[in-house]
Amino acid sequence: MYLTGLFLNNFRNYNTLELNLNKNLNLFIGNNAQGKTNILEAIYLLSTGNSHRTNITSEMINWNQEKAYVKGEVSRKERNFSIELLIENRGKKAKVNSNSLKKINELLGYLNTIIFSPEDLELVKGSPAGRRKFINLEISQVNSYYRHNLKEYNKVLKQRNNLLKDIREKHSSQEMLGVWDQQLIDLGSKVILKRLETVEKLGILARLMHRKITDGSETLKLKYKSSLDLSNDLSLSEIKDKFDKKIKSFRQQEIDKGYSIVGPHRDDMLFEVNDINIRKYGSQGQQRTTALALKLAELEFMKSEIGEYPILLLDDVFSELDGKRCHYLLKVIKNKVQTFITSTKVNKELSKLDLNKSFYRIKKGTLTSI
Amino acid sequence: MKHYAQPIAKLIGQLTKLPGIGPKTAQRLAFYILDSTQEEVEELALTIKDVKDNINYCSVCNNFSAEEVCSICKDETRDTNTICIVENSKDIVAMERTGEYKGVYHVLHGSISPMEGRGPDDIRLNSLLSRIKEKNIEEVILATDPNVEGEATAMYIVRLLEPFEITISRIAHGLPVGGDLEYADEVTLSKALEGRTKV
Ligand SMILES: Nc1ncnc2c1ncn2[C@@H]1O[C@H](COP(=O)(O)OP(=O)(O)OP(=O)(O)O)[C@@H](O)[C@H]1O
Ligand SMILES: [Mg+2]
Ligand SMILES: [Zn+2]
Repeated sequence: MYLTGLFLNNFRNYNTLELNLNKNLNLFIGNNAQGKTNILEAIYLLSTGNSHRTNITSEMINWNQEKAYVKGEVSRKERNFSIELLIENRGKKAKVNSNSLKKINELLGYLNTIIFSPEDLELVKGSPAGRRKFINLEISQVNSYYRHNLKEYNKVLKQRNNLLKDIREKHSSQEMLGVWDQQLIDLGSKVILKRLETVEKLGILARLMHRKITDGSETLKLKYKSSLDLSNDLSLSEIKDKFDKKIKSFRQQEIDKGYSIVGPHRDDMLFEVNDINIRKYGSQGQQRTTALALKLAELEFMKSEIGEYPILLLDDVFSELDGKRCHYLLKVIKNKVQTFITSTKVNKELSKLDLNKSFYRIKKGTLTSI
Repeated sequence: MKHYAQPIAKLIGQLTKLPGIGPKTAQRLAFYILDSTQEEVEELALTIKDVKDNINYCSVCNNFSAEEVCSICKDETRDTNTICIVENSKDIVAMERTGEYKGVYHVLHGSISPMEGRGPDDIRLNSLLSRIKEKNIEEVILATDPNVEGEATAMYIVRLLEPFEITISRIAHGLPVGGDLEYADEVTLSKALEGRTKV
């Protein structure tokens, strides 16, 4: 899939911007603080309904304006459509082909994107929450059932945590947990099962990518680390059983703490290179290679799930990756993935690339084609 | 608010408390009321007061009713051995529109929700239990909302009714998940009724 056009109005430091996009590669070159990332943010917003860098909607509206507007023209295998977003201080509204969506998160799935920015290089060594967010978004973009289950799971979790506090304060009885446990286990097990499947697929793909980047000298393994101590190849009912037992054995601890400590909201992903935990013991270079391999695996994973490649947003990553990694990255995406790259200068690898591409120079929210 | 005369500000404040009414709509409504004739305003005020004065809960099913017993509970053609449990009176309206259901109802006026501090004692489960103990109830249909609170409430009732010999089913199929029963269209509801599952 690819974007054929992008239109911005009062978004960040852009007044009005109208762009026809290259099907292959779009390069945005400019000094710091000129508006490069803002463009990628707008595209990401069309894809997920949220910014990748802020939770505060009003930050995206130009300082001198009341509302912002973003529109993208999407071309997919079977159909073409437009996505529009109206951003106001009190919230966002989305339209697909001029039809309003009830909720902003219904946008997910129309335009699939993968973003790769210097912060993503932190994915491996960062907090478990970051990795859960990664895996959740990954699956949610391609699977609406997962999205639904996760949303319901989080609601049950909130209710259950409230109840656990009530029980601790003796405002409620333990018996009341039953109806929430059952739902937590039901929904949580479905979430876990899908994550296990995905981590396995992603793991195979990432291992291949990783091996090529490292010339076969390193082997990457991806593992799902569950608070339920799961082994591989479990069926849904087996996961439910484990969940049920675990929850019962942690009953008193959960009440003492006043929140749920068992379930997918406490799970994590583990990266091993040559059987060594790379989060703890990997060099910075190894952690970056792992993150890169994971991002490229994402591309192939989405392709296998939805039948076409998503759009790739590369924010300033070339300054962080060495020549060999750059080269490999470009080789993978060449001619098959629509890619948006921002950079402060034209990288050697990029200019060498014999590929249909558009160059733009960005200065204070104005674009010129070069 | 300081730009309004105090009584107007007060009215806007009251209207904003209503569900689905934001400050802008409240302002529009307030000025609409101000522009209306004296008679119109009095009639509106009286109607609002009237509904509170004259509508009570049906002594059998807790449905809103102008009389001691609601019209559904009074209707002798209905099957009083089957009870459909709903969260709100408005769910009865949605159910009745299907024309499929011939039993009676029980309105809980809420669902179990720890976040809002609502437990089983805060919804009308005691009167349900007395009904089941005293009347010859054969079947109970759980039509609480298809969200996590409605689900928890349904599960709780299943456990509560375990000692009784009653067929219990849950409406679940074809309903928009996460939505309210009120919004389900008639076709999906009819289908749901046909396909109700025994729990
Ligand atoms: N709401 C807003 N209204 C107007 N300008 C804004 C708004 N938000 C951010 N900006 C401006 O946008 C610019 C930052 O844009 P962006 O993050 O895209 O920079 P960049 O080109 O990616 O820079 P770098 O190379 O440092 O990453 C800054 O000049 C900032 O002042
Ligand atoms: Mg930037
Ligand atoms: Zn009644």
